[in-house]
Amino acid sequence: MRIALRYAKDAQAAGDILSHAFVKMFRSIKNYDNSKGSIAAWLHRIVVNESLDHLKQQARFGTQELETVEEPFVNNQIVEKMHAEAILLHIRRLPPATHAVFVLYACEGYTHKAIAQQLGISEGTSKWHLSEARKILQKQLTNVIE
Amino acid sequence: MNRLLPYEQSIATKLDELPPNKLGADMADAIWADISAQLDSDLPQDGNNPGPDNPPQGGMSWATGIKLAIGTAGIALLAYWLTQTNKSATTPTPPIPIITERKATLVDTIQQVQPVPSANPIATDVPTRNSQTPNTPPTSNNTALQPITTDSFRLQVTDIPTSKPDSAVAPINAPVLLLPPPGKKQRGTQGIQDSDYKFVRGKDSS
Repeated sequence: MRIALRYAKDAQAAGDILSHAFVKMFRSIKNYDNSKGSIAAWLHRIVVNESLDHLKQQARFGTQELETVEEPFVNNQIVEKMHAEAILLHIRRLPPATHAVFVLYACEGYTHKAIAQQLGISEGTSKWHLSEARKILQKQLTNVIE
Repeated sequence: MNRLLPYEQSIATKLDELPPNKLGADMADAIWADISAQLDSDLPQDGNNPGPDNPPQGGMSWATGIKLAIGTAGIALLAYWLTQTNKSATTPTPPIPIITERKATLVDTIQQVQPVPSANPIATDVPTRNSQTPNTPPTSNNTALQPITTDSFRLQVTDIPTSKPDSAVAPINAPVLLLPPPGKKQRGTQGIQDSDYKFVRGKDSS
C-alpha cells in the first residue's frame, strides 16, 4: 500500500492500483518461482509495475533531452522537519512522468538505464525528468520555508 | 545527475514511514471487495467452464453442446431434403394417356371378344361393334362409344376418364370380360317365397 501511495495522485488511485496489483498477483500466482526471489519482492515488483501502468495512462512520456546539468540545492533540514504526508503532497504535484521518474530514482533506487527500460524512454529523457523534479521540488520546499 | 542527493535520501526515508493503513478501514474493505469482484468475474459461472488463465479441465460446455446439437439437426434436415429430392427425381411420371389410343384399344378389345360365337347373350347383343372393321381408325364420334346393352346389364362407355394414368395401362375391356353372368336378379329376401305373403282373412274380421 505504501508503494502505491508514492505513485498515485490520491488515496483512491492508490486503492485502484493496489486492487489491480492483487488481482494480477492472484491470477499469476502459479507462475511464481521462489528460487528467483521472495514473494514480498515479487509482490513489490507487481505493485510498482501496476503503478507505472497507471501513470502511463495519465501521462505521455515524450522525448526530452537534458541540455545543461543543473543540480538545485535543497536544504536537507527542511525535509527532515516535514511530515511524510506533506512530502508526499509535494511529490504528487509533480507532472505524472516527472513524478514517476523521481519516485523510481529517489525511492526505488533505479538507475536511469533501468528507468528508461521500465518506462520505454531514453536515459536522457529520464535524466531530464529528474532534473525537472528537482527544480520543482526546490521551489516548493523553498516556499514552505518562506 | 547519477547520484542521490541528501534531501532525496531523506524524502525516501520519510515516504517509507508512511502508515500503510492511511486509507482507513472503509477504503480497505472497498479495495478487497473490488479484488473479489474482479476475481469472481474470472470464475466460470457453471463450474465447468475453465477461465482464461485456467488449464482446460475436460468436459464440454453447454454452449458447445448447443452448437453441436444445432449442427447435427441441420445435417439431418439436409440429408432428409436430399433424400426427398432424389425420390421425386427418380419416380417415373406416368405417361399422359391419349384419348384416341384408348378408344382404339377399346375397339380392338371388343372386336377381339365379339367374333367368338357363343350362346351367351352378351356376345350376340353387340352387333354394332361387330360390324366395324378392325382397321378403321377410331374417331371421337366412333360407334365404339355407343352404349352396350344386355338383357340385365347395361354398360355405358360414353365417358372415359382421361386424367387417370391407370386407365391407359389397364385393359379397358376388363369390364366387358368380367361381366357378371346374366340372369334375373332375385328380388327380396332370399328364402321368402310369394306364398309367404298370402293374406288370409281372419276369423274375427267383420
